[in-house]
Amino acid sequence: MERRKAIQTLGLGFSTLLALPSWVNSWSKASFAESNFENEVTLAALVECIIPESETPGAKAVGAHLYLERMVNGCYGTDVKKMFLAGLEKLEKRSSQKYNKAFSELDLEKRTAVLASMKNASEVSDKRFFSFVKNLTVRAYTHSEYYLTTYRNYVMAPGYFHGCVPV
Amino acid sequence: MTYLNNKAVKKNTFDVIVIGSGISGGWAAKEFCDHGLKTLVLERGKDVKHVVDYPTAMMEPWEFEHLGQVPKKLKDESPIASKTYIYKEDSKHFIVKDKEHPYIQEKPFDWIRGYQVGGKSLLWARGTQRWSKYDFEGPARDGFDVHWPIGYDDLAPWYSHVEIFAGISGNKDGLDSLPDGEFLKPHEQTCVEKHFTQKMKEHYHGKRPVIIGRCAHLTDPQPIHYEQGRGQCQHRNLCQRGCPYGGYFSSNASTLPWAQRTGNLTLRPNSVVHSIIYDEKTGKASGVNVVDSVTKKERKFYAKVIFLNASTINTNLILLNSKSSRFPNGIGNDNEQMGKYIHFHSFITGMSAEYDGMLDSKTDGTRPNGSYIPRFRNVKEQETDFLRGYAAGFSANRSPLTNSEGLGMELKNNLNKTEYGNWHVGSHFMGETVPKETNYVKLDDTQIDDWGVPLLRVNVELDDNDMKMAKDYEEQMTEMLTVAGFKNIKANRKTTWNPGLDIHEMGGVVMGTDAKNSLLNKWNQLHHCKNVFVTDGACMTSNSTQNPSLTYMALTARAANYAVEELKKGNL
Repeated sequence: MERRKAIQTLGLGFSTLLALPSWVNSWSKASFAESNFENEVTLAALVECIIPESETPGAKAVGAHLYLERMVNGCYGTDVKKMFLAGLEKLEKRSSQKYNKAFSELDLEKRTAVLASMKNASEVSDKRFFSFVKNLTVRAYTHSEYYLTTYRNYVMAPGYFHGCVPV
Repeated sequence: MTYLNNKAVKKNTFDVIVIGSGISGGWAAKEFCDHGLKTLVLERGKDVKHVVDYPTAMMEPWEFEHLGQVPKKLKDESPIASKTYIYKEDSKHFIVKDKEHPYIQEKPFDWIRGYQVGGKSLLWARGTQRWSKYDFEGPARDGFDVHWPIGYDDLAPWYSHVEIFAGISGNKDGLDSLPDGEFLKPHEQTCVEKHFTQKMKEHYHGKRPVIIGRCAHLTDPQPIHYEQGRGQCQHRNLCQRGCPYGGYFSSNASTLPWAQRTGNLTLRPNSVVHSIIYDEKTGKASGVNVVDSVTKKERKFYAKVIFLNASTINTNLILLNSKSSRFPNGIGNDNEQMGKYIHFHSFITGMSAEYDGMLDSKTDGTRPNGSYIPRFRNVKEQETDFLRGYAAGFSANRSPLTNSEGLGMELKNNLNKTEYGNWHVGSHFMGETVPKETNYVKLDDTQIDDWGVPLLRVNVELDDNDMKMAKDYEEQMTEMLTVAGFKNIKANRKTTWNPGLDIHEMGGVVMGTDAKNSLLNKWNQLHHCKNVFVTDGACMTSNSTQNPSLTYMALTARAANYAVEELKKGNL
């Protein structure tokens, strides 16, 4: 139940924006529905091994894979996009070399091993890919409604500040 | 035909025209409307109505498409605007895009603008400290070119006037370098801020006080605030989106709706003021030339009194562009000093540290404020090898860490833990700069913008005095943080910071004691055209170390009430 709610709320709250004044053009252009998530399956498999689902939702359930693609498309330059796509190719290459399967078809343990091999690789670009996807996945997870309300007691308007309370 | 023209002129005639609807323009509108004067407020930007035009105000953090980050395309289109801390996914629609409003940097001055009803009063950092007599006396004591024509006693009642209405939270600290005001309940210092305050008191024998910041938040709203339709600050810390509660002071939440309710206000958004019309026969300004920013149609509006509250640099620009045979260099600019003496606050450095004491305590909730270290250098006499001094923000907080060690379940467990590290200590520097003739703005001779207004050229830079002062702050703060027992103390000098990013630019049309070297008298009137008043940042003779908005508000209310009296006497 909570997982479904989390899926609906990360980045999909755009219905609330329909009533915006027309001068807020930056939102009207970037309708979520129009986005083309080509790498959705691979990215879902990727974020899930960074923060897996257990008895509680993982990165995929909060939509981190959608966020990752949106960030690569919208917030970085071509150099980062290239690095990102090359990293995804590298993941596939390593998966097929070692297990003869696509990355997204591997079980969680093997997928995690392939991803961890990027972290420990000798190539700087592989290490960079690993930190890049990990950082964005952590950011998506820790900004999700599920995380903020479950682990950080987030409320939009706390109404108070106490400068000194016991831990 | 004559009859028709007269009718049109009459329809476009008001008692007062206020140019700009930001923090000072809103105050001019309120004061004039309260006195029953028909007031036209011209705003060059779009309309922003309180609450309904705050599109992001109620959005949760996870509802932002890029979780707060501004997309690259928008950043690339606005390399200057995107340098300011306030240009984020939730507030970028309130900040002018570089490419839509170009200007020429002779030196790299980063001009941050908010073109909308309410201006930057929606975006300000809300720090509100009074100036002391030492601040007003500074330019004369230190031999600056231009001296203040007023002192603390002239402004004190007007500080009270605006504080009571705006709602300023603060503590009565009893400091003569930072006079107390009409305060609502103060915010709380954290335990480590209190510890620092105490250590400073002991070590420097009371000469370096640390206080809770004074800020324009309704911590304890009074009937006058409820009457404005405002309510208690809810500690959201999302002020830059516009506050649906009116918890902090803005023109949109406070002065403009108040003025509107008198029935005397006409607010006209999308109205770019091109210039002031000067009547050679009467020797007064008679109105303004306006270009509708949407239709590009030109119109004229007339009034007995004109208030310039267009924000520092645009006020300079409008006046310089108001040329007539009497004033070939811009209205009131006989001494050719207009546009010169642009000054600002230096924010070029800051500090960070940690504290590994008091680990059984933490902070809870959020606070739209911090502690504040009033200026302690050269306050009453010259002590250092640089002129003037600095104030500093100071804060110490302890909230849960984000532990992102590991991968997979290890990472997940780390993230889901609630762990507290050391206290995080931070400070930022706010240095007074010396007004100089060589820091100027002027009009470009040939290039004009989309509304037919000449492009602005800016030539403003930091100098050696500013650098010496920043170094002194870093040294003194290092000593002070060490005395308090903090660890990992670092000075964080900013390498890409340019003047303008303080968003505290002032001067160019300064008040002074002498018409030879200043543009305005002690009532903010142009020396040579008395029915034109300048009461935004452009009028500031010097900048001292306080956040400037409260002083603009007080100067505006004072000048507006003076103008009302002069109108009654038939002097304007």
